[in-house]
Amino acid sequence: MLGAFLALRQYDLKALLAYSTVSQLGLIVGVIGVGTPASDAAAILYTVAHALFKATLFMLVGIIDHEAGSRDIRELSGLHRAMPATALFTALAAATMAGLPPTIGFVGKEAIFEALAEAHHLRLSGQLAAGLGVLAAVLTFAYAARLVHGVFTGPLRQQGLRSPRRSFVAPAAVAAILTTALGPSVTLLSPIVQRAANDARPQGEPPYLAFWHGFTVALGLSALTVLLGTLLFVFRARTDRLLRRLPTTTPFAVRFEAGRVRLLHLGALLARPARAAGPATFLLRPLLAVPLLAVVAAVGLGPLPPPVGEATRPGDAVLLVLLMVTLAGLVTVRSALGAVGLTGTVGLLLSVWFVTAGAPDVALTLLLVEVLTTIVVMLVLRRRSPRLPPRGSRRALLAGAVLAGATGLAAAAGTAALTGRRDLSAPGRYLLAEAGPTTGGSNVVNTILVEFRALDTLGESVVLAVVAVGLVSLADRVTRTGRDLPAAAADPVLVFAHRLLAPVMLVVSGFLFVRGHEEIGGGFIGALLAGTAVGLGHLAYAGTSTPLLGRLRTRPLLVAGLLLCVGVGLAALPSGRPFLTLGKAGLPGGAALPFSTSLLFDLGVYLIVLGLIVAAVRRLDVSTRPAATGERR
Amino acid sequence: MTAAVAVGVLVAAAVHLLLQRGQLRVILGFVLLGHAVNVLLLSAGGLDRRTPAFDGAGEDTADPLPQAFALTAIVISFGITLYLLGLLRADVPAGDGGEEETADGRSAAEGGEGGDER
Repeated sequence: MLGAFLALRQYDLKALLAYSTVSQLGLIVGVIGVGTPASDAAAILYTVAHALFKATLFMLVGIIDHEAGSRDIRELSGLHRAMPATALFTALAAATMAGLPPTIGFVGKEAIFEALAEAHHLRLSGQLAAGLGVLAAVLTFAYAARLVHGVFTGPLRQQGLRSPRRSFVAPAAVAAILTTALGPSVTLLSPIVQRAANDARPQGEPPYLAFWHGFTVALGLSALTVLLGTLLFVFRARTDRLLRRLPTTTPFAVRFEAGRVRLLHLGALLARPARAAGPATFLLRPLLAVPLLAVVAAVGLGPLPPPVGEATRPGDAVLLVLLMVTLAGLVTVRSALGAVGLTGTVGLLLSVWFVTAGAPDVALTLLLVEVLTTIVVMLVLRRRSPRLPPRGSRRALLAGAVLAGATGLAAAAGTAALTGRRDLSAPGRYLLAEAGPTTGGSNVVNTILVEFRALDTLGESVVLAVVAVGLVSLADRVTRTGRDLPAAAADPVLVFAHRLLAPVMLVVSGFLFVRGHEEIGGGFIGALLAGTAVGLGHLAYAGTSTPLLGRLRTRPLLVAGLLLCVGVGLAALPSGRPFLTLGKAGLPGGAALPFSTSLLFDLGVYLIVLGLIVAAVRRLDVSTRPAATGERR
Repeated sequence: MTAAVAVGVLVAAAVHLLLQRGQLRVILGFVLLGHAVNVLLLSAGGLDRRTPAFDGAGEDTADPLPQAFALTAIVISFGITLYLLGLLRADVPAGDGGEEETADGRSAAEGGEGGDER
């Protein structure tokens, strides 16, 4: 309403249109607020109408400004004599804005009136909403009339005005004609609007849009709008004087600005805890939430079912003791390499334990990841201080230890309370029973990765590819600042080891990959092993060109891998099966492929993981020069 | 009980590392948190059944679904670790490096900037 009032008192055409947009968007949001399928449809239809006529009017006002040199209603007059086409299209678009038949604005406004009248939230709310809608429409009618009247009536005062070029008016003409033509043929828009309304409110049934609904209440309101709007326009001198008496914009703007500043202060106040320089201060709150949550759960959680079976085996105690000793070393050690080594040890201990826990694939993956992580950390740390930074004060250290203890206790209690209290899960039972018959593979974990949950794996591969791209761009930024140091010389011992081991590693990697469906192995494991060979080669040749593996490039690997994964997934579509349906596929000739398509999918995963490792090994090494990486392509 | 104790000590050590100074400690703490979650996942599958899930599911066969999740989680956290290491590498002169490295790095930076101007 405020926007409509302000639009009515503008002399600048652009400002008039801008305030009009405020008012129209308010109307649309108000209609959405009614919350019925009909109101959704009305809002969507009016959004289309508004986009058409407002874009047209802005373009036309721009043309008028360009030709006549002014946008002020008081200075412009009689322009239709100089530029008839512009005048015609402006009139059409303004008629749409005013909601006159037969334009789309008329249909849209009718739909809005109808939807507003249906607002049944409170007593009389429908009448009130429709009344406000009519009032806004009356004001809209009045300023649309003011625009057309102001610019085109009266004598032509400016000399030497010419009609703008046709190509200049053409875009506005297309939209202006559409605003008029789409009114009677609104049925064309109906399916689109209904679909959009259905997406917003799936349970509703949006109405079918039509140009002529018969003599309805909305038609009466439209007539009332035209009548009142005409009155406002006819008595425009009196209206103008009244509107002038409204408070001018300045005090309002000042108050608005003060409010905005206060809002920003409030935001800064609320965000203060999140603005911390160090991770410790920042993490304090979320970490405190963990023990708090455990306390709440301990109080609120009812009795738990008894544990099922014996989850502890005699060997477990050995693991726990070793794990605790290693972790104790890790939190106290001052040497950076020591910390990295101890972290690797934790990973190795866990992978041994995973073997005893019946998860050999997980164990092998973890083992390889640990080796690779250690290699990459070494590369990053090469030129760094061998010591970790000194720890904080004794008090901070003690507080950290207390919080760490509380969080660990909460995590342990949560694990004990929430796991091991049920039999084999239903999905687990299903997968164990179905994996063999459905996929022909006997390694159930692998069949889950490449067939049952292949979409998950695809998403994960995309994440890895994004990480690889991120590493490349991060490293590019650093190398450009020239912080990198000259490469070291090749290490003869490692070169010998690489010559001996790399071919073996590659062969084993291929073997593990191919047999993944039946035995321990698969794309992840195979690629991690091949990546270890890449890392070894990089260490041995100190970043200079490594034979064979030095030719691998991140981007081609990533692109090939992603294309392969998505392509294999899409290949299922022509035969009417959903995306990423893998398995034994028939060739067009009727022959069957000798292997499952999931192997191709797994190959894509293999390539992506290898691409990530190549990126990490080459790009994270602080001692390689950009020329030595050779990945400028 | 094994899993609960393992998760507890891993989380405690991870939090302790996260709260101390130094970016490398934070990264290693993050790695430990990843381990804790993987143990939790396997424990959710039930550690009373420990035979690998290959053909011929028996009474003692482990739940394969949490294993698949854990495998995915390991590779994802590997990716995150690599990215954190990339950030660590991009941040060489921020006080983590030693004395001689700063001097060396500065002279290299000057040379690099001169040659890299476009």
